[in-house]
Amino acid sequence: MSVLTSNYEFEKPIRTYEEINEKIRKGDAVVLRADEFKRLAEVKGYENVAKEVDVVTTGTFGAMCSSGAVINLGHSDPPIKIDKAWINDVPVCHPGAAVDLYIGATQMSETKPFEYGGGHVIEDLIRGEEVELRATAYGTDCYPRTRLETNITKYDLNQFYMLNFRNSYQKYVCATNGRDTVIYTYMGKLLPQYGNATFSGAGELNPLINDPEYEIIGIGTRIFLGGAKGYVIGEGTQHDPGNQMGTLMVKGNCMEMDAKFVRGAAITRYGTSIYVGLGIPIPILNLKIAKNIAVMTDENITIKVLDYGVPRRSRPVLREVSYKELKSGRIEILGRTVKVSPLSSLKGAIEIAEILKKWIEDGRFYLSKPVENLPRDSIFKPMKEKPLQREWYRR
Amino acid sequence: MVKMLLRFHGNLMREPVTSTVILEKGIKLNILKASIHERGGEMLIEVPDEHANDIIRAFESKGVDVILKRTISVDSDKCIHCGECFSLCPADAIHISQDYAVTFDESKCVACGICVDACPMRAISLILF
Repeated sequence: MSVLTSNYEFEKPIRTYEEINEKIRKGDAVVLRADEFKRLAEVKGYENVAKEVDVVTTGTFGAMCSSGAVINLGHSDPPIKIDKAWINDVPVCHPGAAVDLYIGATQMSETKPFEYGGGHVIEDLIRGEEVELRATAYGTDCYPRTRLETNITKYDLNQFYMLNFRNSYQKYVCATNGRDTVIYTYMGKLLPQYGNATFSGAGELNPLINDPEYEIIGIGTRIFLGGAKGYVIGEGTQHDPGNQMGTLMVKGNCMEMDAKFVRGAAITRYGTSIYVGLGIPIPILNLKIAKNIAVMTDENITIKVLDYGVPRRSRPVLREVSYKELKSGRIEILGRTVKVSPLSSLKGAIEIAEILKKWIEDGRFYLSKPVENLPRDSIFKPMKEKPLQREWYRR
Repeated sequence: MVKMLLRFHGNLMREPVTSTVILEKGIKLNILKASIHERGGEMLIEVPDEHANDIIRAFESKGVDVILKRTISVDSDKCIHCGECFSLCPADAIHISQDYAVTFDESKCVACGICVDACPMRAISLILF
């Protein structure tokens, strides 16, 4: 068979978005979680499974620092054009007009730094809890007010949207520490002398790893975000297709979210962050899509083990390791077996893929076709900077 | 194994009480933590279940307060099963099951507290000292 014929067979449509959505409407759609699809494909062959399965669901539930929420407060009387604002003592950003605020997940409370931050504010608001808002302003002819103090819940807001500019890495790295002392990093607590290791991401359940050519997941893809429906609105910052480290920018309505899948996090000596639950359905439109999912097993997805004891942009690579080894709980580093912690909740990832599966089976979630694909050739550049001075960093 | 907290007061501070109990009873016990502070001396020990009552009586007869305590408490409402704590535990008291649930085996916990500040949900607390 020539390459052309095989590609033709491979990319020949077996079903369309419209046909899948029609089956969802009738309650007939066949849906499997990505891990279930892969196990079944190992036994029956992906070609056979692709005939039966309409949709595969993915999921991940990890710390995603480049996340936050946009809120609109409505106008006070007399009105205020907010200059600086705090919610529960967490500084929130005022990047736009009078009463639109952005709550950044890593912004820390000025009274409880490292323990409470923007991620916790978002979680508390989603729970329906009351938060304290304070704001100051310089006062203008049209916005004369200079000070504001009020207590609000999400029900007092006009809009409360999650707007995350980098989520859901295709795959990530594994961290360990070669120094003689314990270090506290965004990859968790790392024991001295390569005493443990940590990794992030859900491996074969990760959304983007199952769409390695970015054919399915694009602008407009409807997703599970924080327990509600959300959307992919573009590639995330630092999107790096060349290294299989693609990322997503996403939005969703926090008013409908479940705090179980949006959790503020306190990462000791690093700062605060947020755990975001995210899941994406992948329609089995052709054999190529099915094969890509079947091939991307934990065994076949490898990541670098980096020494986070070296605080440089390029950290020493100690080895490559598969997600299968990582999920076994132990890996070998320089001849010694050490325990490995998943930083993402693997239990949560499976739960999210399962919920998304149920939503589709029950006719509560329809698939959307992307209006644009994510870039496949963009480069993640390092910073352009001036020569480093000794007093510019902490030793 | 049973964990117990021993409190030594006043004149007991100078007596080799623990060695005496071990020699008299011929029972092996594991010292997990020992410290002296404003309240007096405190020691956390681990004793095989079958010898627990013997050891409690022996220490109490020498004027030591014996307090049976839990070592850690995990708030299951807060835990999201991320597993960050798993690789830090020197006593292998934290497990990740087949379905990736994180579980704690308190009988193995040595109350070192290494996992406590690593939990991003602040779900773990140490009950001792």
